[in-house]
Amino acid sequence: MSGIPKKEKWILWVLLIWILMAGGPGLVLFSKPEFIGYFPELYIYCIVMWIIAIVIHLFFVFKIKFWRVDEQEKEIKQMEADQLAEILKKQEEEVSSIG
Amino acid sequence: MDNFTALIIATAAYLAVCIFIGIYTSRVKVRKASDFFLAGGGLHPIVVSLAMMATVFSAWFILGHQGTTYLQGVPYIAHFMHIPLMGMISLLFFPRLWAVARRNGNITPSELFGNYFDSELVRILIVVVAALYAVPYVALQLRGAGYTLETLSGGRVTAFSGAIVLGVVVVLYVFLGGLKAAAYTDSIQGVLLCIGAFLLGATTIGAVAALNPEGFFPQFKLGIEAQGVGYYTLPSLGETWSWPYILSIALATCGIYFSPSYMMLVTSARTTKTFRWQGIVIMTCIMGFMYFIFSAIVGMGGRNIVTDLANTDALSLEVVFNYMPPVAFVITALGILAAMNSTAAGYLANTSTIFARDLYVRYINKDAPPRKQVFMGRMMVLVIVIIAVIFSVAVLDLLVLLGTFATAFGLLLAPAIFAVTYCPRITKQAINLGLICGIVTVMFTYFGPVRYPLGIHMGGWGLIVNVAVVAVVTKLTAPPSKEALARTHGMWDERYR
Repeated sequence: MSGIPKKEKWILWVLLIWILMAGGPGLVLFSKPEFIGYFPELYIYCIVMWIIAIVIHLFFVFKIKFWRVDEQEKEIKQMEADQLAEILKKQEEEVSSIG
Repeated sequence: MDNFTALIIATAAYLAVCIFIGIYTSRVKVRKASDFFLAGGGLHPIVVSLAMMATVFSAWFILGHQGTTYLQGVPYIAHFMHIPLMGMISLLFFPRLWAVARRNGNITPSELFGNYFDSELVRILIVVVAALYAVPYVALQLRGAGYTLETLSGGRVTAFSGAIVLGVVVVLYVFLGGLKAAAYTDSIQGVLLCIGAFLLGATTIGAVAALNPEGFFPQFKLGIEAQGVGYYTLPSLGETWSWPYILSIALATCGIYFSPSYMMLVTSARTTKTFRWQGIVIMTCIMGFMYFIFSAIVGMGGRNIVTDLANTDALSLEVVFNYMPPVAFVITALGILAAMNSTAAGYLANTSTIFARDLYVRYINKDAPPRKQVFMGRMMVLVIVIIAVIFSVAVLDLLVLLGTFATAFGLLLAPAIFAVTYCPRITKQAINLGLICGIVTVMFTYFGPVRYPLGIHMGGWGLIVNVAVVAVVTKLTAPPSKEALARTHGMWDERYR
């Protein structure tokens, strides 16, 4: 795995556990023919898993950094700007040579 | 003004806006090919986020999910976990994919993966997957739009003429403005389809509440209980909608996010901040709410207000037609049409680029100047639509089947994406063999003696075999070249610089 610091790897285990709980064997634990309020227990469980997914997302955005490419983005944009300037310069030279 | 007149006027106005955007976005200076094909790589985060959402949510979002929830109940809702999962894919993979594509000047995913693995087979397979997505998706969306217009107009507009008019408009604005036109129209359509889904849910709540003096919730519960225990608990292992099936179909649905069309939208973003927006706000929060709350309300609540529905996909249209007041009727109808149009436009714009760059430029005219490439891209829009129309008229069943296979095949690209973004050890031979074995497995677990063995969806089987083959072959073969690793992983890991 490239570019993932050891101290951030734990979040991938959290993600795996969430996948198994939200769509895997975890569903069986809450698949009972009962209602919580007006809603089936399994449906409530699905909603809870969705809310947990939002929390994991927030954690990724505010606490985990390995997926970010902010520094690389600045370099890439500079490189693209240089390339565009070169193309424009070439086009200007072509126009002036025709003229 | 009656519903029909209002619907026709609103549809005409909506289509006129789409064409105007096509004309407006066609005035672009093409200095390099990416100016047209990737909108210069400068699309605003909100535009890209909404366009990605509108492209992924087709007719299925507003017709299919509600209908299948009506039929299957809570086990079907459990597979909506693919929505937050897609958000996580957006966050974890797209920023790095964006960086690799932009740094190396790759316009299409075939260029990105073909160059990284130095493999012609990977290039061709990605073109095939792109075609598998585009042809059925474009054809089915146009057919769906025609069917919707026919139903909502009470048969006064035929499905065929509706599909033709909407098809011509989509082709026109994609032909003129390419990805930029598709993205801008998609972002407007994304808002429309959200409003449509919201109104659909609100109308169902009102209609269900009207049946019971105690209000919505007691009646909602009665409707669910009346369907029996199987409607709100999981079936036994091995059966359809048991947990292995739910997990595997949810993962297969995520294949849409790995589709070549999507990767082009990723590259067109101005900044990687886009994917934070897309992942958390649009997908996980807004679409999560639409799926887990509104689709569930319409689907399960629909049991109270529409009984004995022969074609469950018609549930949403029944609610729109029978329960909505005129203004909500028109807005929701536009939302449904927008869901279909936006998906067709997104696939059309991106796949035409893939065909132009990866077939024409790669194999026919390597030195084609940017203007010539743009011309070919526009011609490819027409070619794809003509093929889609022929398929939809001649072999509709095959088309539906191709659409089902497309998501499973899209998921097979996951190891290749993983290799470029996180796992430099994965080799070209592993990806090639993994893809071939994955495709064969998907076909076998669908057409073979037992469909979905052990209750696992074909997309799940394809991924299991693909990953196993990739792991074994990677152990036995040499890693990618130092140059390829430096251009990709070197950006975020100094060991590869």
